[in-house]
Amino acid sequence: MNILVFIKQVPHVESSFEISSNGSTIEFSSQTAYAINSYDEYALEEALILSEKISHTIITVVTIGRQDAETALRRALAMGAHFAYHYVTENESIFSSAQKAKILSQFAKNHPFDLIITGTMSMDSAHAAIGPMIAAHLSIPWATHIIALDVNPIAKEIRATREIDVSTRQSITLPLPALISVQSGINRPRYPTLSHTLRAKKQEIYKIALNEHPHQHSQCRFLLPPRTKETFLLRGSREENARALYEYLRARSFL
Amino acid sequence: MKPKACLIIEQIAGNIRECAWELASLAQLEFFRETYDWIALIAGNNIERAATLFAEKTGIEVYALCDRLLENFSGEGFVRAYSTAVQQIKPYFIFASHTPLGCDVAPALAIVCNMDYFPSLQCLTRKNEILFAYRERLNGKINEEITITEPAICTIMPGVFPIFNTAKLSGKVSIVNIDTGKIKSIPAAPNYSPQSGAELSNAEVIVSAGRGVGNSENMEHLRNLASLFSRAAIGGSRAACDMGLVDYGLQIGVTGRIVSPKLYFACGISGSAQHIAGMKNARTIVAINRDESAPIFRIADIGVIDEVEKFIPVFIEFVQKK
Repeated sequence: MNILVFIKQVPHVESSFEISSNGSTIEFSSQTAYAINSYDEYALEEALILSEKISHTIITVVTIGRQDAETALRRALAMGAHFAYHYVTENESIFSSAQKAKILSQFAKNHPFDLIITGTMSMDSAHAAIGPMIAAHLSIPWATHIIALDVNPIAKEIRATREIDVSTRQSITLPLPALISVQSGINRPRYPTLSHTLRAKKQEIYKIALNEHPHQHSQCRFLLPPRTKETFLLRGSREENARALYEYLRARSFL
Repeated sequence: MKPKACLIIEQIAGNIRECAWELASLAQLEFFRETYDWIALIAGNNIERAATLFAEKTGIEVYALCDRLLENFSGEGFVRAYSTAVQQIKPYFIFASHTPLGCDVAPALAIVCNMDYFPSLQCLTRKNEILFAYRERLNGKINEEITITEPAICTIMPGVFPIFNTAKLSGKVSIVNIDTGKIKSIPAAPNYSPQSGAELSNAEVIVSAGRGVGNSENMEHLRNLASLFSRAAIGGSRAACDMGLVDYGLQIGVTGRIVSPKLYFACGISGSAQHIAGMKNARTIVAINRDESAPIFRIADIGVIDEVEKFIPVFIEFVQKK
């Protein structure tokens, strides 16, 4: 079975940043740690679990990103992916979800696959758009927010369960080829072993240049979010803060 | 005749989902109401009652897109139904909810109908004939202001617009029989199983865990904090559930529960829109987080910039000495 996993590299959630003075770009500090988007890590882990159950499974990871997104692909190889492809662009953020979906669906048209797995969304933008867009381009069935997956390689179909809300789930059977987007918490992504990490360092990453510069017809500007309340921020010592919080809650009859 | 705009109304087993009533409020924004003729699209099988209810409560014309193959939800089947209607209506805008079902269909519909896609919007305003929308980036640390150009499909973050609730009006219902044709997906009926966590609805105090709590040993501190209060319960963000710190049934936010206690402790919670939508109606919000740029500090009443596991024991000791 051939599985394609589409991943994205994102900055760590607690990274410090600055918004440029005209609001057009977000600049991260040079110490920013980047990693595989956690939803995509769940997607890759799900592919790895399937490869352990179904022999001759080949997992190919693909990303669109800057030169340094190679780190994410190396990590994916170290976790156990077989091949890695990198669409290199120095300005990943100007590509819309639709433009990325088009590039990735073109990749899928040129590489045989039975199943595509993506994360449901990215941690940085949470648009949750790429998966269904790719499926629409490829005219294959899809399902998102998946929290359980079973593959029947003989019947060539999958049975997936989606989370609709905290107490509502739905199962859906899709014939292969199909696409699923996984919800967080579907599995526990593995840590790469040392020997896999060493092997991954030597593996080839296939680079594909992205020369097109997408046309942006929507203007965008970044701002700090508005304050809805005047927050009383405690900046004293731990003990002073404990006293201040106690007095605050006491004054409001909570304690 | 005014140009048309559509709402995608979610239903499960003939019951209209709460997010649909929020979209009805969006359609009531003055510039939207004046500029467009609104049509609500509801897809399924045996949905006439739901369609009539929506039309009667909102005054919005409803197209009930019916087919046997739409009995249960599949992205494939529902996109086919909506796109059939869209080809006929030719709307300038389509609004769906940024929910698991909305996000399953809306992106694919944008491709099929060749419309621009603007997901996850939280606020819409019009200045000088240009439509602006806001959405969050980096888990709520940054707001992104974008201009929306038609024709476009937009998804709206749940919990942002109020539930539509005005006097009874009457909208027309048109039943549109859809020929879904052959679909490859075989969707099953949804499975409803109430989760633990009902105590969250009645709790006066909620102590809620986030990613910053770090590990399950540190949950002990949160339980100790909760025990200072009567009628207190433990909850958590999606991240805390994924980390195994709290059960999924105790999740607070868009994909979890909406709560409104008198006092809410956000411990190590950064405060993404999806979490804030679930707890912003708490009367008093206390945030404890080591990251000063965490957006939770923009909605909290009082904030402590510290590590959860270091601050809480000191606080409890102080309270117990009093």
